[in-house]
Amino acid sequence: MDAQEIIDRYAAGETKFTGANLSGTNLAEADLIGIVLNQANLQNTNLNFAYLSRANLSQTNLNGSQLSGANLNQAFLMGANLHDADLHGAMLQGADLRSAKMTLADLLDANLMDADLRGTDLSGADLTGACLRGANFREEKRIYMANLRGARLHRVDLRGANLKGADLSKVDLSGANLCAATLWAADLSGADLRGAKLSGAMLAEANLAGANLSRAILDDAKLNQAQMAEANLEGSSLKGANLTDAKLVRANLRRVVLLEAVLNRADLSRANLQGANLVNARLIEAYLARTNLIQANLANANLTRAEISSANLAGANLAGAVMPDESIHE
Amino acid sequence: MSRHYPLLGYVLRMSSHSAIAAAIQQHPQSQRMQKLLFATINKGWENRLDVIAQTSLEQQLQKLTQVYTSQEQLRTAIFNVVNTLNKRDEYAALGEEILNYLASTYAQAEATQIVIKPTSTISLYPESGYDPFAVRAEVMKYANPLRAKVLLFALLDPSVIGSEAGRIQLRAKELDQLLGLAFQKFTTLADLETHLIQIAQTGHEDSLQAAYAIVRALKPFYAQRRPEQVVNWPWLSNTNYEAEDRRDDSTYQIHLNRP
Repeated sequence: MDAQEIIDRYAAGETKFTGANLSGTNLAEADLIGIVLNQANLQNTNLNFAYLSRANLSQTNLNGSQLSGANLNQAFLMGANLHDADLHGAMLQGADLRSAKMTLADLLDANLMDADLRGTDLSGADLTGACLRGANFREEKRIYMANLRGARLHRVDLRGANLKGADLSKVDLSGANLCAATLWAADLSGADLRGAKLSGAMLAEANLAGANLSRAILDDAKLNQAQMAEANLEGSSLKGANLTDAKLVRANLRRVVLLEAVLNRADLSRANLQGANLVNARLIEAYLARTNLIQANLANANLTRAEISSANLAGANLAGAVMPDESIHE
Repeated sequence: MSRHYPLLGYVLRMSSHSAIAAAIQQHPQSQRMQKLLFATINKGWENRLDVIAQTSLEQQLQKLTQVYTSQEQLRTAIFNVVNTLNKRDEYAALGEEILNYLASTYAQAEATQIVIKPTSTISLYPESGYDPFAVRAEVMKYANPLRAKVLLFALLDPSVIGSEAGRIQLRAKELDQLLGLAFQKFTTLADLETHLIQIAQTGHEDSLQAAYAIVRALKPFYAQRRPEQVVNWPWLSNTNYEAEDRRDDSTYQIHLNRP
């Protein structure tokens, strides 16, 4: 079928074109709202700025197609093949993308708010600047998860997202908005989280080993039992954060703001906290073996039963701090 | 240290819903308004007025304000429907009317809310500072992101308007950056609005919707800004952004002249 034929037939009121072959045709800016094109062949089709809201494109082949600026709000794309598709600035709000293949797709500045991404394969996709507020990534039983391996999520908006147990190892999440997101037991090992916003995020039991969190904002974040060995948190803010039982072995915490943070039973052995702000922090039973606390500010901190015998406290401020033996430093 | 989350306790005056219902019924576009209202509550378009009439308009309004507890939520819901419709502009205007009618209802509700602010505010419009994510989300809710980018490019560099062979690198800047640059360049909202509308009017019809969405999104931040304040953010220029990896933009140009 050629482009003109489908445009004419659609204009005449026909909407069902299941299995149609429109591969390579030019349908840029076409009005095809609500069209039924499931199981169709739209490989390499030009659909830039096309109107496809509520279109049925399930199991359709859209491999390499151009969909930049296309309106696919509430469209049905279950099981569709969008490998290498161009979705720059596309609208996919409320779209059903379950089990869609979106590997290497270009989703720069795309709107994926409230999209259903359960089982969607986004590995290697570029989601720079995309908005994913309200998007659904997972089934409760974790068998139906979005695949974000190798995806580029630079400055992506994932505010409030549920990414429990997600595999985000080595993913680029620099500058991303993850405020109030649930990343419980997520794998963020080696991830790039530079400058990311993680205020109030739930990161309990998350794996952040070797992750780069420099200049990230983690105020009020929950990092209980998080694995953060060798993580880089230089210059980040962790005001009021909860790091109870967290593992920070060899972590870089230079100039980190840990004002009012809770680090009870945290393992900070060999960690570098030079110049860090630990005013009013709680470090009850914290393990600070060979920890670098040079010029750190521990005013009014609580070090009850903390192990600091081999820590380097040169130039550290301990005014009013509760020492391991529960005496108060002057 | 416990964290408090906002508590909402409010009562809506029933009589205002019946007044609004009456107003809608007397409106010249009453039927369309009722269809839009119905679709917003039931998340599915219904053309048959006899089906819609099975629930009283007053009841529908009550349900609406129960489900959408803030005007912002209602606006989002209404425009989610509007954006899928063929006569988008007409229904957008009707959507605004519905929001206007219900504005006083929400204003009463907000006045009686008991809110304990959490220490880390994640509100949509923070009291201080520019929130690029909030601005972006607001623009995307009501406009085509690519149209918004095209419009903003033309706004920031008017020399691209009308250039047919222009290989404008729309991928060279993210939407966030373009919005931030626009906010930086135009020191008052009126100035921004005037220029945006002017350019949008020479472009595709969807550009006008994009213009209004951009103005709406940036409005709260202009309210907090003194005109003489200079805005200079490092993220407005590309940092770790590899433009060379991107696809070639030559497949489409900036069409700013109506076809």
